[in-house]
Amino acid sequence: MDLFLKNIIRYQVHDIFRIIVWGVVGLSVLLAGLTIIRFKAFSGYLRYYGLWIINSAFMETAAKLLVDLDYQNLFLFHINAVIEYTLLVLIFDHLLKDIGQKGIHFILFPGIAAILLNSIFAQTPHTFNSYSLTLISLATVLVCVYYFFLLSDMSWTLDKKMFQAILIGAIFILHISSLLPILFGNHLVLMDLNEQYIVWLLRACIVLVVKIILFYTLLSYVFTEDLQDTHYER
Amino acid sequence: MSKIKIAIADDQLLFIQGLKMILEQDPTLEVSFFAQNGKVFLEKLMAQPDMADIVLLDLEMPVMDGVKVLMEIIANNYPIKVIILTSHYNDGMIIKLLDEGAAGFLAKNEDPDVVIETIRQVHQKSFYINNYILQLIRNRRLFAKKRTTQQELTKRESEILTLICEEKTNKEIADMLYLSARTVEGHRQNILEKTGCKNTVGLVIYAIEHHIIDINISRYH
Amino acid sequence: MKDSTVVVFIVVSMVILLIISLSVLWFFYHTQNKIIKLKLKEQAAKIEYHKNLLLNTIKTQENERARIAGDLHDDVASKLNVVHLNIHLLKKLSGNTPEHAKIIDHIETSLNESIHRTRVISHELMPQVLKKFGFHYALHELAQSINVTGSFHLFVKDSHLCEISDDFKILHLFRIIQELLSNTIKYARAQYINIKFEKTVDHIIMTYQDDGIGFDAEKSSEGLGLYNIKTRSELLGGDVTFKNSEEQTGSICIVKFKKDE
Repeated sequence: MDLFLKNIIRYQVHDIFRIIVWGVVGLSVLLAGLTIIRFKAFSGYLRYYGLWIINSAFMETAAKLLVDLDYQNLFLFHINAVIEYTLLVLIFDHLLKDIGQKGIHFILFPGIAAILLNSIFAQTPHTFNSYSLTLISLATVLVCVYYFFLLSDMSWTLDKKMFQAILIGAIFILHISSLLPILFGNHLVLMDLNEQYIVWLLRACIVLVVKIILFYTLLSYVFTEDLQDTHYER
Repeated sequence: MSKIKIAIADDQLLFIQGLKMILEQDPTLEVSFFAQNGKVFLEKLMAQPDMADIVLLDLEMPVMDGVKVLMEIIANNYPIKVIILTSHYNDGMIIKLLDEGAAGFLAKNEDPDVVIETIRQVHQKSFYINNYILQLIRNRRLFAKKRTTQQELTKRESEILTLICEEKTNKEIADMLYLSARTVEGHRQNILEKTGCKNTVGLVIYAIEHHIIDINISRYH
Repeated sequence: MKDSTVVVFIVVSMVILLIISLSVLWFFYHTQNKIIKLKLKEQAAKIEYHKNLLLNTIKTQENERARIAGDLHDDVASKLNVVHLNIHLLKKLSGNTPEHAKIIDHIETSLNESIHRTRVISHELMPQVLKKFGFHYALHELAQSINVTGSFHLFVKDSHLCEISDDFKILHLFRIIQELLSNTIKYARAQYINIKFEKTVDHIIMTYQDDGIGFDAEKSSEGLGLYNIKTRSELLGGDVTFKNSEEQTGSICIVKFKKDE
């Protein structure tokens, strides 16, 4: 009986998971498309944000394809670690400078060095580089919170603040929801598929919702010419 | 000749007394009564309508002001003739009040001799216009809504109007045109109705405005 | 550690973290909103306060003018008239030497001048014709007095459409016109002035137009008068637009306000 239920759950969960993953990938591509079309409208930190969106789309699509074609996709995470880290540092560097704080670009090179060291010597491209990714996510979450504190003191309009809050909030939620799965990433991979999928499913749902909200926000942004100035100026 | 009976309506008792003293220096004039506000004045007038031939009416009085008194007198067809005597001597008031039926308009600080002369003129001919007022009428297109629906005056009526403006009395006009005085009076009433004027001075203004008479300034002192 | 326990642990912590992060975001939004609403309320209150201050100032100004005009008439002019009468009586008394006569003449001249000045000042403070005979007549009277000078041609069209029952509103509209005319006469170097009235379903619209040199909003002296007009328009329950004429030179001022119910 037990086994029967388990099998049913496995198939249900598996299917839902597959649909959601497709949804996530599709949305990422849409987001990337939107970004590319309207890239001229982006400036300053938004440029890097746009690049971050495009990178996510690329990585997620590539990862999914590789899995479907039965190849190993773990090396992608290593590459992504470097790229995403760079982009995140640049985004926050500009954001903080916009607010008038010192930039954080000084952590760029040490960070990259650490990631590379980890990838080359510690967790090789055949394993999930959970250390790098966890630290990246943790750092991102902390910087986001720091940023929200600063943002609440700025005397901008609510519209402008909310726009930035949503964008950074997206990064914030994506990373905070990834913390635990990534930390236990290598452990999870060795578990029964069924058990794993619940975790990945939960994460995928969160990612999907976040991407939908992000897409909607960016869509309304790029189609209102004047908002650009309000959202953009200091 | 009997004395001309004058009433004075003004809110300043001192002014009334001073004016009374000056007017009564002339033996042909008599101040029969006075009042310090419009309501009291009208009450006294209604009690004895023939108590005065002419009233020197101030505009600013408590309870009921001069404008309302004038309108009451005209509306009820009292025979008394109104000379406005006021501090508000400005063009707009002059034209409007003459239009409403005042027979004359004087500033309060007018030379008392002029006041007396005005009283005599009004008593004789029912109106008094001086050069200044004549200029006013001449220079402006007189503003009055009634004028728009005037009927044409008959030839006879125009003739009579011209004579009225030449300051002829009813009797004189009757003699000149070989009519009875009553007929002339009847025509005068018709003319008043047709032109929508309230009294003689209104007729004069009307006539000047419509070029029925030539303006001859020397005629009007 | 059993796999399922690990999974449960991970899932639960994920959910908790998610809830915390959502709370962070929501908290952020909520406080921002409150701060901004508070700021807006403060600003609105300030604006309301200043507006009321301005309106009250103008109301007080008009009340003062009416009072002074009334006092000038009742207290000053009336007494001067009594003096005038008595001077006349003095003149007629026997026993006057030529010196007496000369002095009395001087007194009479000055007296007449004072009376005239009082009249003019009082009239400027509160036009009697407006109070006694209404807006329509007073406006035409004003037009006549300007046209008579020969320097301007002022046309008024359809002023009967302007039906206002509130005395104060009539006064404000009249003052606006007075101010506009004063500006045109002083600054605009115009020849033709046109004032026309229109009526819509709920509004009355007055358009004032001259063919002078147009508005120059930088001139501060003009600016104060224009600001006065703006405030009075608000007292009327409406608003005012200033612009320069497109087809020809000159300025246009449009005052639009609600009709009486």
